[in-house]
Amino acid sequence: MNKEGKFGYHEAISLMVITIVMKVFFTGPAIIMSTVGTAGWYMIILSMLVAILGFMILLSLLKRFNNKNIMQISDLVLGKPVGSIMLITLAALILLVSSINMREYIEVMKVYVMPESPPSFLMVLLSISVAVLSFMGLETIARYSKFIIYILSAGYILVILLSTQNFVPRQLYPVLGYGLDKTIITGLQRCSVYGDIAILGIIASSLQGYREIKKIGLWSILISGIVFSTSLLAYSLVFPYTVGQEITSPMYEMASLIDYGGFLQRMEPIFLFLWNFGSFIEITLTFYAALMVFCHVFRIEDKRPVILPMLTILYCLNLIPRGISEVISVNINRLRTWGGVLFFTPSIILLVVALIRKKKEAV
Amino acid sequence: MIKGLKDLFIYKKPDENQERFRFPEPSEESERWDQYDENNSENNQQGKQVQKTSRLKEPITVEQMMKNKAQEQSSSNQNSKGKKSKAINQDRKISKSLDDNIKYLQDAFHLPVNQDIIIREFKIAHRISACIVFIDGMIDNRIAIQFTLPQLMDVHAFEGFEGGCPISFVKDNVLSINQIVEMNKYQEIIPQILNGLIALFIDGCDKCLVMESRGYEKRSVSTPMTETVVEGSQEAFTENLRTNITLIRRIVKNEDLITEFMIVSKTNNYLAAVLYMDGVANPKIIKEVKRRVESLDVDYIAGSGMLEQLIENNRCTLFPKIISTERPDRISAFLMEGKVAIICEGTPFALAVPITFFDLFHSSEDSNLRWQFGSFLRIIRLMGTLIALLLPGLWTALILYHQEMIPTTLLNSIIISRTPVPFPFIFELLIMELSFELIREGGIRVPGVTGNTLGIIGALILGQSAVEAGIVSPSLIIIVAVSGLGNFAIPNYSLALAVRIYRFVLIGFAALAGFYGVSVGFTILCALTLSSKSFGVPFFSPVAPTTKSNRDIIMRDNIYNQANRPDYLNAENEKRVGDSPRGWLKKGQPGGRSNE
Repeated sequence: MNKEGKFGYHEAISLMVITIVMKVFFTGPAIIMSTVGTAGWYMIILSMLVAILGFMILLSLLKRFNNKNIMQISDLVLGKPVGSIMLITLAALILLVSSINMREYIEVMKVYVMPESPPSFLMVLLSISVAVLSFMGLETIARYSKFIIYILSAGYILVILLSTQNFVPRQLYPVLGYGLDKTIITGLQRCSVYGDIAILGIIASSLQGYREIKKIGLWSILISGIVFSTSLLAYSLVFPYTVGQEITSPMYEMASLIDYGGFLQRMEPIFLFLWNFGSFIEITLTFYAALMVFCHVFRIEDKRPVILPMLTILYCLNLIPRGISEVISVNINRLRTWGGVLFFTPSIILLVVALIRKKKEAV
Repeated sequence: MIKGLKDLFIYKKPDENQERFRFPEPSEESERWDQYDENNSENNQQGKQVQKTSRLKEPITVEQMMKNKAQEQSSSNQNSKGKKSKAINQDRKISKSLDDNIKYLQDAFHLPVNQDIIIREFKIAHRISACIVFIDGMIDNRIAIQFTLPQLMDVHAFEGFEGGCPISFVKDNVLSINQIVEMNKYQEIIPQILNGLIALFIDGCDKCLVMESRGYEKRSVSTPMTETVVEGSQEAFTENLRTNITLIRRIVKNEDLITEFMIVSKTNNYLAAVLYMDGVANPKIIKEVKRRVESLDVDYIAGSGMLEQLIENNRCTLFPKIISTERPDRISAFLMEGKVAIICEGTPFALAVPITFFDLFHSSEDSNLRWQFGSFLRIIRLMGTLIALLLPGLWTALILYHQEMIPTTLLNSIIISRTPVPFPFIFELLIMELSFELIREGGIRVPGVTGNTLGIIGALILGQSAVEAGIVSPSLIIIVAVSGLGNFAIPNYSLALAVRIYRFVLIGFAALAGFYGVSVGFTILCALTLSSKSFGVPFFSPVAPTTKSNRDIIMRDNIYNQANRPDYLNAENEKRVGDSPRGWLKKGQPGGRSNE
């Protein structure tokens, strides 16, 4: 039986930061550039502030029910029958998010690295990683992210620093992008990129209480915001916004443009590993969160027998989009626009009902 | 045979009289064959048809079969226990009659068939019958000849003896031997005799004396074979348990160093010692180690390697969870950190638990050298480990999938060098890797200097010839050789072996899907490793999970800055450096006095 176990502050921050920031390495920046032009790097800071507000709602819910996760709170506040309906919906949606992230990763992988491999083959390999990590449990996933974050940080900083040779400061103009109003509206909508922070509510029982969750959440959003902002700033400096919105993965392209002579050029292998390890963690965490919610609803203590069937569902969900264009224009676009609502709604509902029904558990 | 094979493919209509398939049921089957033999010998005139009919029985269910088996097994266990208790009931206490005791010991040691057990009967002070029991060759004969028999036979030594059982009188006044213990249970006495102690039985006494007399042949202390260092102690453990404990006690001269002896196997009564620092080591870890060692129910153990396999946590990873070292100074350092050591007789290695991954690539030399040198060596070793693990896999991925990532000039030279090679790259790589493994294994097995020569000559000639014959490309030889060297830099043999095996796994993943495959393989490897624990301590502590630690993971800090014992051990006494580790320095200087 795999238990969630307990893990610390560093592991949790690593887990959340990796899960949140992976979006910036895929198609997200191109969509942001096409929406707000050159203003993406500070628009994302605005989104961060909105996400902090969303997180505060979750936090106040967790404060009312200390050391309980969102599933337990739902049982207390809504009761088992109604709570189960909400939780099943939540699990299905998180699984959908996981499948969208997975398909996006596979498609971008296919475009840049493995053009001749069928997506199903790449998905099978990825599913094996997800299955192994899930079998080992949440504690192992958290430890893996803590272990890998050193490699990811070093790779990320290296790529950004080496790309400075391609920085063209005038490409930041016009600073206000397509207009301040558009930047603000998009910034509010795009708080979804930080939406994964709501997973903290699902894994709350594995963390060391409300105060630590507060620290973990705020630091994770802050670090992710800095990473988002610096990478968007770097893209804006390297690619003109007209070109940037056409690129599937600006970070990959940026790494391949690095050229410091014959033997220090084309740094995409570094980026590739960064991409792979980060995506494995992101997809596994969302998958595992869905698994946790599902197992809670049906009171399944041992999650291992459920992993393979659920992974098969994930695999099948992945096969639904016809191709990269459908994934980007429909799925990713909708997820990034409405994802915030999806992630934060359960906590809002629970908090409102808890306030009305005056349900509370002493801290 | 051909007919038999042919029959396999030809359908035959079942014969109504033929016996159908059913579950083979051992007891039933043996009964059948017994019956068959009887029938065959006694009633040859009866036809086969009759025999078949009599052998037919109703099929039984699987549950019934298992039940029968369990019943059979429990009855056979009871029988064997009964037999044993009849022959040698080791729970029995010794008798006051010497004859009974001798009879019992003769039965227990299978005398007179067993010829190296000596039962020497004699009279104490010309009056009381007694005997000493020992194993020939296991004892120091001087103890028996000079310090036991003459004194016991001497009448003058018993002046003042007032009669009754002379055990206490002999112990206090007659025998001049430093270690003598009174015992009265055979289950305690017999293992002591087997370990090379002398047992003295006296008529009229329901106790016996067990005297320290071990004196078997042993190898002297020599230099380490697998953990050589330039600076530091040059002593290694030997096969003798007492010597090994002495080697540790010579380094850790502290009354809190506890040694507990345990017999770890049932039949060969293999002795092991558990060592720990009382007041430093976490009592829970000590308890867990003792629990695991004491709970073993194995007939035969002949070394620390076997014991290690029996007490370690197995969770799908090849990395060792128990460190095995031949260096007393290393074990002493582990004990002082709060770890628990297990030393077995018969092997020149000691085990230490719990460990983390980082312990496996530290060496005792790191602490003997200044921190800059120690850190440098550790970085080299870490690089070696990563190269040995990843380089062949990454090279495979580059050559098979990501040629565009290789600089053009390098790619050009690789293509030119690979042109004459007729094999697919992965085949070429596997040929070279397996040849290298063969050379390495052959070099170890061939004795002495020849082994080293075989290694070098084999590698040179094989490599050069393979390139000249166009079987492999020169660039590949470099990759294989560098990864091999990286593997040699790993200081722990089990870790090096695990890396060698994982390298092949990663080559497989790289051949399957390039860098993506390597990432998948590496993730799986990490997941398996990160989930494992050594006696409750996460294997990648203090990195994942993060725990407080001195700067002694990869980079090593000054000794005086390593103030605390590792947090993951939860040692009873966390501090290992005082407030003024270098009290000769003034306040404010590194490691200097805390106050003037």
